[in-house]
Amino acid sequence: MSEIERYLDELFGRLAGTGAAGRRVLAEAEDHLRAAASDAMTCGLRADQAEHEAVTRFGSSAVIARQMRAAYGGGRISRALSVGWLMAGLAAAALGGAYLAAAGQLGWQSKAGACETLLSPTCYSVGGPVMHDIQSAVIAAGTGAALLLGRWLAVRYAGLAPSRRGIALTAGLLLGLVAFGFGMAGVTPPLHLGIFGGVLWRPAGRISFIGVTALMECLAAAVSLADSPRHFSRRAGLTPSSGSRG
Amino acid sequence: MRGHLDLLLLATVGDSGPAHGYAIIASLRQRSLGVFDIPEGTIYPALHRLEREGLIASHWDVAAARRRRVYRLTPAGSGALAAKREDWRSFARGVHAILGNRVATDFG
Repeated sequence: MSEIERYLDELFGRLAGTGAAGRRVLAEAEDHLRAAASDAMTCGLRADQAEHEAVTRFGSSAVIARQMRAAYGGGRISRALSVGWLMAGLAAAALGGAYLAAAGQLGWQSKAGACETLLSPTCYSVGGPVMHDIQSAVIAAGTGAALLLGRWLAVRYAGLAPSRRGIALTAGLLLGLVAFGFGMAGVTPPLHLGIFGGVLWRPAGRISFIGVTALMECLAAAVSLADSPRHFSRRAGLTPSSGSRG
Repeated sequence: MRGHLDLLLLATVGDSGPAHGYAIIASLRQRSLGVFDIPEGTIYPALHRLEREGLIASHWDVAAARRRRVYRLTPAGSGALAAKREDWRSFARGVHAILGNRVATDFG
């Protein structure tokens, strides 16, 4: 892949959700870069040197994408809405996970020799307060999933600005840590009895929040990374030269 | 530079006639004797913004080997350019009145 194509891929990723305006500036950028590279080759540069020169002179794709969003009035407001929406979705999902962990801890019935793993359904009781926690978990997790799906659709099809990679990642990690903190406040897990950080426990142990919250933290971070434009462009495997032009 | 990019783009498009982005940035660099050597890609958001403000208009030129977006000044853009030029001349006169004599003294 040439340097110009790599740059256009990067710009395409950063312009995700900008619709026709993004397609247009992408087409203009490709025309500009190829014309600049052609001129540089006319002046005696090799093809790779000419492309490097053209890309360098064109400037940072992040700056151009940011200015494009600002030009169409989708700058700070859209980005703030996007980050707020993402954090609300992650928070609801994390809350659902915390409720689920609480239900597991409350409903765990240690039966000597019978309950080898966390995943054995017969080792749980599901009455009273446990059901309340499960209901809360379903509601919170469902809300979180709906928020995250809605936001993804808004970014993909309605021009909502995607979050910056660093902000989304930080938000995901912070929320994971908050969930971890809640878990730690609820119970002090006997670490020496845990296997694989508490995901699997021996009968004498109690369900630890560590495994669940650590898992949630990883999921939150994964959601954040998946949210980044650069990741999206790689996942889509699209190059501007193969895509449609508006 | 940042605050004057709109004026420079309007002047370049207005003086050179309809042109695509690459030609506009080349003209800007050439006419400024290399002083305004800005990242070339940053003119596109500016051109789009000026178009949204109705100061320039554009269309795809399909006659060339590659399809290109060609920009031209609108009547509103011509009026805005004349007003901005006058503002700039007034500003430049004021700055020169303060600095010009001192510079002449320093180097005279």
